[in-house]
Amino acid sequence: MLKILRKLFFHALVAFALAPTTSFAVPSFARQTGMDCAACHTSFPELTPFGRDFKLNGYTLGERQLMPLAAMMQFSMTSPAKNHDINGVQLMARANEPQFDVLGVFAAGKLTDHAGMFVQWTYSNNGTQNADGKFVGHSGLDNTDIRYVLSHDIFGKNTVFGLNLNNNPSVQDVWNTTPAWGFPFNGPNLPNVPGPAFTSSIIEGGLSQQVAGVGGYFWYDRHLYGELSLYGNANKFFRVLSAGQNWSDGSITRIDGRNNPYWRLAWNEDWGAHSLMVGTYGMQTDIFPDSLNPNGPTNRFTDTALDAQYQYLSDPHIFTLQTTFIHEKQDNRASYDQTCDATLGACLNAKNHLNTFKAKASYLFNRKYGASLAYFNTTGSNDSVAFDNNGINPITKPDTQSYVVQLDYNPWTFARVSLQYTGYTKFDGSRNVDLLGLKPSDRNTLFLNTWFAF
Amino acid sequence: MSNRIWLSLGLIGLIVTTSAFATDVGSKLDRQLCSVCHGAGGTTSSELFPQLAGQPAPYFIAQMKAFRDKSRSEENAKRFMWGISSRLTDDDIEQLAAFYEVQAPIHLGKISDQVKYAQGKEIFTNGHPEKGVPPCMACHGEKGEGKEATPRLGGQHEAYLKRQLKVFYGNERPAATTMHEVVKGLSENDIEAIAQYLQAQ
Repeated sequence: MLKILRKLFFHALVAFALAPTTSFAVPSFARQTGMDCAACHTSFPELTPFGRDFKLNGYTLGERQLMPLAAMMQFSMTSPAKNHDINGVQLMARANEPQFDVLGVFAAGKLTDHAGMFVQWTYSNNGTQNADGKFVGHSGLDNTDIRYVLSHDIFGKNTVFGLNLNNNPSVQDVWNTTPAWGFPFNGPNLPNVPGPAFTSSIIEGGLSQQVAGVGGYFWYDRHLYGELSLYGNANKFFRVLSAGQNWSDGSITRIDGRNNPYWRLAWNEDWGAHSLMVGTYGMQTDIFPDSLNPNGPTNRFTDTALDAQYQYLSDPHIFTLQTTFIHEKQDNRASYDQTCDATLGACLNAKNHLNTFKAKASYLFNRKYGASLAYFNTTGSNDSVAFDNNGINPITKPDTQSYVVQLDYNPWTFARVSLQYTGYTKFDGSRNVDLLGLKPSDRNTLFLNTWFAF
Repeated sequence: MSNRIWLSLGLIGLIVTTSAFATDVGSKLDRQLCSVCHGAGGTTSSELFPQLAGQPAPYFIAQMKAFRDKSRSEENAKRFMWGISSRLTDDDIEQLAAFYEVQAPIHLGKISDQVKYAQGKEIFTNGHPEKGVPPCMACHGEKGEGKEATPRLGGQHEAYLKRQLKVFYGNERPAATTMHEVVKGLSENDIEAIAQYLQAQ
């Protein structure tokens, strides 16, 4: 049976690849609306004002498709500056080898005049490590966003009211400043040998595909956006939203209840070729200290963020700028041990904080040639437990500073070849050589990537 | 408690009355759909999208139908208008045309090149008789205000005017037979001059 299914799936794929189509990213939306990707995207997944409106109106513009399906594929090659630490341990497997990274299948489109969805299923070729330490493929539900919308005039102005169900805080957002759709849109995803990775706040993907959020929003006169959503783990009734995740290896962040709030308020102004947004978003999450034993008291993480986006949209020049600052308060009310003696060993602080700053600028010529420059900076408290950096250096702060330089070539609006260089000037608290014999720049990567959607 | 009831009733009343004022299909479609790109009331300062305010209804209707049957096919028509127009009925198009025809056009253009402006004015008023180019104003009106199936050009974006005039070199707007003949006598420099003149009207 499985064999037959596999065979069918393969045939479906081939049919997809060969189907005579002129459509684009997410191509099922293009087929539904009859519009080119360029109407909604500057360079996917970045949205134009029209794209934002399309999403906030619940993906309902256009003709309902019988099979609102689309797919995307990514191939890449990653070259790290150094691939072995001082002990000869490999840092990244399959470096400098061409990789088939990801196959994504979308069910995305209009359901009724008032409802629409964006559902992505992703197969990742180097997804997980099996018992023998080999890297094997893995698939699961990816970003999911289902909406019900009504539109009504308030004070003579068009206002959209929407209900939303999603599995990743900020995946429902329409500006490319928030974590789920922020830059970089993709990057090296070779299997990392388990070891140090830099710290990020919980809202930056820490809960993606592990939670279910239900919320409501309004979009008033294309100026004011407000949203409140409540999140809980995607288990029990909502388990489908975390399909593919492993609930028994401790990789899921367990949060308490279904009422962890996510909020968003944004002011948007479109004039002429310009589009500006200034906003705030945030989330409060109660997290169980032991992800395998979600009982008892929790630690409270509160993320508060400011963000801004500017776009200049013209022909042939497009310029976009995004920035966000996230402040995370970590109240370790459950894990904090008052009796811990710092002279005997590491003690967790009662309270920690983590600050993340991101800024990115892109220029796009003729929607074909693009260049982006981004800067990221994370700083935080000194804590020898929360930010022990896996002991790779004696500094116990989460501070990491990096930049990305990316060149894009989009031969068609549904395909991209990009060359992305990621450089680290500070890694896990240190600018110097760490105990693995690596300085921050030894972790730099060059990532060559192609991305198709069809 | 009763305060809250009054407040709710008041709010509901407000919503009902404000929406009762806005039942006209043309203005509703303008707010919900067209204004995302063309600006509220069909006036935008984005050169990607043309001004629609004050556009004669017969011209507007003909263009929308040409997008819908895909006979008008320059790049941005394909990108944006083929999809949008496919959703509109004849009645929607007529209501939109009636709405935009009576909207007051805006005049954002400033003269940035006096020489070109003067050249453009010359072609607009007198044409290029030796090259067989008739005066533009013969059809488009003294100030480029347009009439019937001939579009308003005065106050249109310079970039849009240039783009469209160049489109007439090819055959992506087959209905515009007159313009296909006219542009044969226009050089790129003439086109830039005409656009410079018209955007400032």
